[in-house]
Amino acid sequence: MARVMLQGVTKRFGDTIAVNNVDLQVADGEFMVLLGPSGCGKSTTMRLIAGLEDPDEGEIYIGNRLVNEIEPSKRNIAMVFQSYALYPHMTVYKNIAFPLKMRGVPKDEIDRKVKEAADMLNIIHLLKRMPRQLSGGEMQRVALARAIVREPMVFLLDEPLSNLDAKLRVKMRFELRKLLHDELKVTTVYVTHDQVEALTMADRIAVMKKGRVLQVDVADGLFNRPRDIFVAGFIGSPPMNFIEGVVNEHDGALVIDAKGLELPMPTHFQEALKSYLNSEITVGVRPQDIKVFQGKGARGILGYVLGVERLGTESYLHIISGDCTIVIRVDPESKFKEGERIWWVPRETRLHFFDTKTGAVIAKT
Amino acid sequence: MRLSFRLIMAIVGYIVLTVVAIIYLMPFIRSITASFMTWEQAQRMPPEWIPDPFTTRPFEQILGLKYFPVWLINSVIISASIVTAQTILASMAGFAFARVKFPGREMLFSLLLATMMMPGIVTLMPTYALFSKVGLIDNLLGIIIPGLCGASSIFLMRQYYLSMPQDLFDAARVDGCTFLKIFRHIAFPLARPALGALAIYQFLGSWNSFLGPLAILKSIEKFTLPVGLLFAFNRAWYVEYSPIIAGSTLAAAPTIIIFIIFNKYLIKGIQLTAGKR
Ligand SMILES: Nc1ncnc2c1ncn2[C@@H]1O[C@H](COP(=O)(O)OP(=O)(O)O)[C@@H](O)[C@H]1O
Ligand SMILES: [Mg+2]
Repeated sequence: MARVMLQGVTKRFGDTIAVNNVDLQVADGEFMVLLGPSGCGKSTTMRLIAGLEDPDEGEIYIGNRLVNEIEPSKRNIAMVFQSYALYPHMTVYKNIAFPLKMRGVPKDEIDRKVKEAADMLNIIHLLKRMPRQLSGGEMQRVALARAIVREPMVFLLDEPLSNLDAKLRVKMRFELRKLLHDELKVTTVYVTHDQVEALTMADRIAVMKKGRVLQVDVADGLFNRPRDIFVAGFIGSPPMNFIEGVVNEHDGALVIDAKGLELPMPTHFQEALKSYLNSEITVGVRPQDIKVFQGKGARGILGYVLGVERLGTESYLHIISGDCTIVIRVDPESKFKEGERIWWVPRETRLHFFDTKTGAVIAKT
Repeated sequence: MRLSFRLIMAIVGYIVLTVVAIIYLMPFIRSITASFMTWEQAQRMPPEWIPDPFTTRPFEQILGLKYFPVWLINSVIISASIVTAQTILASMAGFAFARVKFPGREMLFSLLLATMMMPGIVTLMPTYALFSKVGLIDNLLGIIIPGLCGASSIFLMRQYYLSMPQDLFDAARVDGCTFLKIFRHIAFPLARPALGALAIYQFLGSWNSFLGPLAILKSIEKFTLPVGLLFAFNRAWYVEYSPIIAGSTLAAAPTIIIFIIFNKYLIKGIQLTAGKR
């Protein structure tokens, strides 16, 4: 068992900065997920930890050991690849035994450990097969067995579930977490672009964008206290609504002037926004944090119904208000007509404010 | 309308191909049939195609020749050494060029490719001059050594290793392999189809090679089959050419057999070198 620490790690491929000055600490036994869109540098970060790439700058520690100059095979890590990377010319047994054989483990011990790992993953009956005779889910299990058989200090998994069908993927999420985190209690770095996977499996999630780590937090923190507009928009589905505007003063109170609509600012934010007077900010509010009123005597900001998206247990109302389109979660029972006038009110405590230029959250003072 | 035009084009195409194939095969077929004829029948004009009487005398004559087995053995020694060395060395060098990062790799590889552009005949005289200084003239090693490795073989192997997924090599590194172990346990065993193609090419090339052995080998007991047969022909050891024809047929037999059995591998090899980069 060991922690993993990255300090100021940068990796360039020609002109591309794949990983940009990343600091990351994974605690002993922690299940850390690297989450971000394709091409943001997740795999490269993982490959740096594995030693398959050399950093241009920065330091990487596994345990208390600086591993920059240490071969992948000596870092005491195991890796599961998206493609599984099973050796096609070896049986399942030999695939699982391979890392032990390369380390000169005695034959009878190899045999015992291979069977133990195979048992843990329910693949004893597959040991004599060749990889090409396996289904995707079975290959996945073999790849996992090959990784756990060595009892590594750190587990690295790069989108291990993305080649499985949807149903199996959901099942494997829980199984994987149970195996790696609850049973083996091994430090794990897990890469995915799927936020549901990240939110359901992780102890903490590191959200990445363009080679940078924007926020490292527990799921609740990312969802409720995003520190960056990208994180706010990336986590949550359907995504947070963003309304861009300029901070103005109106009758002594701060409001936001946004493309044809005026958004009053909550009192507890007046102070913090003062310094943004006349500059551009973005207001974020999630679909579930908006109330809608219909008919006579309604209050709030005027909008027109564009349509309703019904997803069975929940429904999403799409409206246009000023020049902004806004998505609002509504009661599936409620009825809306296209073009109907409605009034909407965001929950004041659930508003997020971001500096439009930098994308950074504006903290309450 | 369009379909029938296509059909006609296809038929015309096949007719042309068949005619060309027959023209190409003619000498082959001729030498096979002629090796079973009496010399008297073989030289008749217009040529006859069916041996009558059927005889194996030309084979008996050539096999009875004192030097024929020596030449055969020389050819086997040369081909076997070259095939063995090429498969091992080219697959190692190809692996290094494909999957091991080292400084100057791209430049070295370009240099290697440049040597492929050079026709072999250009280097024959310099090689000869060099070999005469170090005593490799009239020595089987003088044929074997230049054939131990070649740019095109390295290129073929490199292409094959590049076509394998990178993840396999990365997995092996994480699993505890040095580059040498990756080569031994992963790359080499997986390269079998390419190695097969390479071995066959090298066998055909070395078995049939003529100009190099002709230049370098001087004494009768050092000759390879093709050189020996020409020698026997030139010196008019026989009044009749039938034994020479039979000898050529024998010399060509491995080539033909290999071609029939392994042509899948040969095509694979062509696809490999033709594909990307
Ligand atoms: N070996 C490489 N050579 C050149 N560019 C690379 C290489 N590996 C990754 N990159 C680039 O680095 C960036 C990050 O890639 P990657 O870490 O694979 O992203 P992710 O796994 O998040 O999708 C991408 O722009 C990618 O094109
Ligand atoms: Mg990736």
